Amino acid sequence: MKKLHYIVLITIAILVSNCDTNDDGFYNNVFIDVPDLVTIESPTATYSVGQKLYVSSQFPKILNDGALIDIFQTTGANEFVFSYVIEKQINATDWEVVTVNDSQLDIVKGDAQNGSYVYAICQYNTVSSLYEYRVGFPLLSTGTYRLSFGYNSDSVNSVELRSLSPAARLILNINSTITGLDSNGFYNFTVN
Amino acid sequence: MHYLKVNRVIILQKSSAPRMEVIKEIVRVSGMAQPDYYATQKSKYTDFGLGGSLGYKMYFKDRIALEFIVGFGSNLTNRDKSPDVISRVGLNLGYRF
Repeated sequence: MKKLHYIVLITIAILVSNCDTNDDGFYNNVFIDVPDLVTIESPTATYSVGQKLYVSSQFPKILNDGALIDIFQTTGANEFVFSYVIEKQINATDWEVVTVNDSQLDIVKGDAQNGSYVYAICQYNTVSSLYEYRVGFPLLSTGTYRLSFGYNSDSVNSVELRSLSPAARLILNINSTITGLDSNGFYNFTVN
Repeated sequence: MHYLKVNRVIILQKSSAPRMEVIKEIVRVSGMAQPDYYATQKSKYTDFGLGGSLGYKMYFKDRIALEFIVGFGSNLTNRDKSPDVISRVGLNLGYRF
């Protein structure tokens, strides 16, 4: 009797494990490489307290990854997101993440949320057919700072933009190299 | 409920059968006058697999048979599209006249 219970239990477990359909287990991510989709505006080694560090992104729905590709038709997404981190040096070896309230961000285009990293949202402009993001991060105190795009990836010289696709649509991951970073993937600057 | 076990059999099976399945894959649609795009596409494939099963069969009240079968096999000829390993689970209920 006990053995029967075990057999039934194991069989049901195996039956359930076999209920996976193609759609359930379907890996729906696509990866492409397109350089220079995100830029640090007017890069300079020195800023003044009160200035804002602007990061921007503006790219059309048709990109070139060796051939033209329509990313809007691929994803149906109205938003692409990426992330970056701004840190301040607190001693010779340690850095701390700089956080500000979302209301302190100068959101010109797109949207952004600030926590342990800046969550940048490029929004699709139906008039211009461009995905747009331009947000200024306030530099509120003097010190040595650095900015990096590798919070959600292992890459040091690129950023990964990910589509916020509707359900059942493909998710497009665009790996985009960024100019102006050092060999460790940081944009270093000082605020006086 | 009362069960009366009068016979238990360990079942061993070998199986080989061609199977036609549907695969869903991502394809890059190109070659038109418009830019490329990625889309999902379902296509059929056929493969031939070989495997074995192990089960347990029992009778209740001499007449009602209950059988569990678990098996695994390997696809052989079209593994680019088909899964390498396939599983089979069976639950049979029978009546002995």
